[in-house]
Amino acid sequence: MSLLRAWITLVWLSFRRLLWSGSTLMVLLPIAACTLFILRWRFRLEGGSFESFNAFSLFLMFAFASFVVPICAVAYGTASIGGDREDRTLLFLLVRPVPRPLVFFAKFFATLPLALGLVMGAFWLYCQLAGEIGALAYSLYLPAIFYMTIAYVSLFHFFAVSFRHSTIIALIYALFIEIVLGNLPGIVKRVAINYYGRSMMYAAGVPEGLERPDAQWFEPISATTSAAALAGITLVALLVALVVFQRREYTDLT
Amino acid sequence: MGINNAHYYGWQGKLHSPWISTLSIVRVALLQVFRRKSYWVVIGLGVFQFLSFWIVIYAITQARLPANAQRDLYEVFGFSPSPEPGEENGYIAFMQQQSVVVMILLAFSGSLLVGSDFRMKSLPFYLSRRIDRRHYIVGKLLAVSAIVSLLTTVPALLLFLEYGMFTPSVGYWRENWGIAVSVLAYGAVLCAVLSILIVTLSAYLQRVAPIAITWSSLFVLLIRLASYLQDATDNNYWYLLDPWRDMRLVGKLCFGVFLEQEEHDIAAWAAVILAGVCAVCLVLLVRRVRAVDIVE
Repeated sequence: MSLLRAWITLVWLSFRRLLWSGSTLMVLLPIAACTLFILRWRFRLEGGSFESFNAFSLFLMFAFASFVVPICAVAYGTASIGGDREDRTLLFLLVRPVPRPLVFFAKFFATLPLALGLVMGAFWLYCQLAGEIGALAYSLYLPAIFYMTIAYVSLFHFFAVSFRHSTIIALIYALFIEIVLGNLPGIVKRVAINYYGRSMMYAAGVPEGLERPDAQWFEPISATTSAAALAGITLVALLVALVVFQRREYTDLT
Repeated sequence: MGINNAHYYGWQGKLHSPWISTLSIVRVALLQVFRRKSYWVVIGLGVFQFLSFWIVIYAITQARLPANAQRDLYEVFGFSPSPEPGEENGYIAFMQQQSVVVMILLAFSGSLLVGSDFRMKSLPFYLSRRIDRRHYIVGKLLAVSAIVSLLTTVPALLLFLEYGMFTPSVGYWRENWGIAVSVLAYGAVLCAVLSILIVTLSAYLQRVAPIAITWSSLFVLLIRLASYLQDATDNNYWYLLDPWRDMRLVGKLCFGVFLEQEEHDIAAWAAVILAGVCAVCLVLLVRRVRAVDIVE
């Protein structure tokens, strides 16, 4: 019982620390920028035509899913354990009689509602602002955004427990490697989370008017396979992170 | 024990100007950045790009092809060593391609070079010496500028030198001296704007994550939004949201080279925007750099 209380306390403490952090304030900037953008841009979305649905879908794919989602995941995913490593307070956490897997899951479950809440909230807001097309896009793309968010959060937790400068590595991955891989021909892009998210979005959006991508550069796989791949990435990243966190001696904390 | 008995005595030599200390700040900052292994991953990306251009120039000049064939080959690689009047030169294109590397490196260096001084409360140690906030700010701006130059201006000038060296005479350098000036002008704009922005952001945000999020929002997201808005409204002024384009336009303004009339029209606005943003940032930076935190 005391272990459970300790775990809940840790979840709550981590949640509050992450919520009232500079990252929260800063991550609101791109979300606000996108909101202002849609307010200015939504005249293009009026009428509910295939063309306007295509334009809004491309915005969601290349600005929201490719930038805002990973940024929200970086802000909380790496900061949960990475912040403690940076401040060297992880040591005080690890000397408490709470098993390491529980510490890891406490951090993960403190992060997930924040990242998911912010991403889903922003997604809902943009779809509301986009009107009729937005309502359609919300129902179609919600699973893709959800799976992408949890996959990014898990992967960035893995980075946080494995690397000292995890924020740097996570941002290089999200903003550089994924973009480079996304623009390469062939199947090399299948190592990127973004590929599976985009595949899910194409699978849902093409029947409603989203333009099919050029097969030479992007050949989407089915929605079911993409969802399974993202769920797999989430689970594998979490398991590997758990094993690393369980076994690793953090010599940089002292 | 009196201080005289302890044999303490004042400095007898001639004191140098405290402005010399800014060079020490630059030296220490560069050492801090270059001793981090993780930063070398990012620097390596920039070096890789530079080496790619270097090899392309070497291979094409040594192939002894006709001038037209050489020009076509350079175009394949997106490089133009001797552009026609009004055409973009390849060295500036190279500097623009380095922008992603510069952006990532600065996002992480900001916290290390400036943010940690505030977070670890080491700023008073700087300001307890003969240097004051002017010297500190100039030192940090120069440090960031040095990093930017090492990734953009210096390699671009090296490529310019390389191309000239593989030609039979010094004619290439003599005929295209303007390219070197345009590289320097663009480099100066990059250094000034990027250093002021990152030092101010780092002084306020201090940690890596918020700095990197804000920095990437400025330099990645705004480019995409600007492009969407321009596409939707057909109004080129939306391009002014893109800071890289603003810097490029101001660089061109310094040298008077424009590709299109539309670019010329918005270049002055780009200069006004950058000047305004830099002025506001400098005011905020001066207010932030204090020896003692007034309210804890």
